Amino acid sequence: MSIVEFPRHACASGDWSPGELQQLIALFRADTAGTSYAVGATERGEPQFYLLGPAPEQDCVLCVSRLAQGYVVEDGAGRLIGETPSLDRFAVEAARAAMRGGRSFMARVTLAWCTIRLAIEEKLEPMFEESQELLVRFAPQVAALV
Amino acid sequence: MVRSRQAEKAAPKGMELRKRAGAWLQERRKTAGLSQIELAQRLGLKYYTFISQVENGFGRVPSDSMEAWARALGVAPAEFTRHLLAFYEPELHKLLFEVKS
Repeated sequence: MSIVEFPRHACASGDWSPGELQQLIALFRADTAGTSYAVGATERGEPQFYLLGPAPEQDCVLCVSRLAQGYVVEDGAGRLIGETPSLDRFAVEAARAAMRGGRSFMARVTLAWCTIRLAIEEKLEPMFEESQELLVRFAPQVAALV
Repeated sequence: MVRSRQAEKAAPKGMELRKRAGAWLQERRKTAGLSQIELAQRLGLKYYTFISQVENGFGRVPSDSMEAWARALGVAPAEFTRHLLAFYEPELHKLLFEVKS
């Protein structure tokens, strides 16, 4: 097997941009109780995001690395979960990975949860917002009739 | 280079030991004159990101590939495994190699 050696990213500084980091934290709910995260970098300076399991062991559940041509997601044992050109497409990759076997249980549960949550956010929340808008619009008229 | 949300708190023992294991592995790799990419190549990995994950203390060398890692780094597999066991499973290492019967 030949290794994929991406060319250095033009702006690979070893740091996540604040936007990317916020996106990753939100994606994995990495700032909630029971989970935490850490960031690091490869020898070549590409940033890595580690999603950690519960204390005291805090084993790495998932690792997201940003390489020149996209993001690589691996579980804590180094098994490749997916490659995605953008974090926005992560939901699709996560869904695929969660369905496949051979990954660590924790990684699959995390990915499945991510997929469900993102689907809810994408599909259901706009519906709720629409209902709220209708309610706000018609409530005064309904109230006037009562 | 690693920053952690837990940096301000005392590092848990397990994580601290994994970091020490990672530092030792990085030292072995440098002694062998290999980059992370070259080591990944020798291990048949598609990406070298896992090497970094392990060296930064956020992953462990899987037990089923310890022999391959040892050979890639030019260390005797038994010595390599025993050394990593001291970090990954300190109690087991103590029972196997330190406690006198």
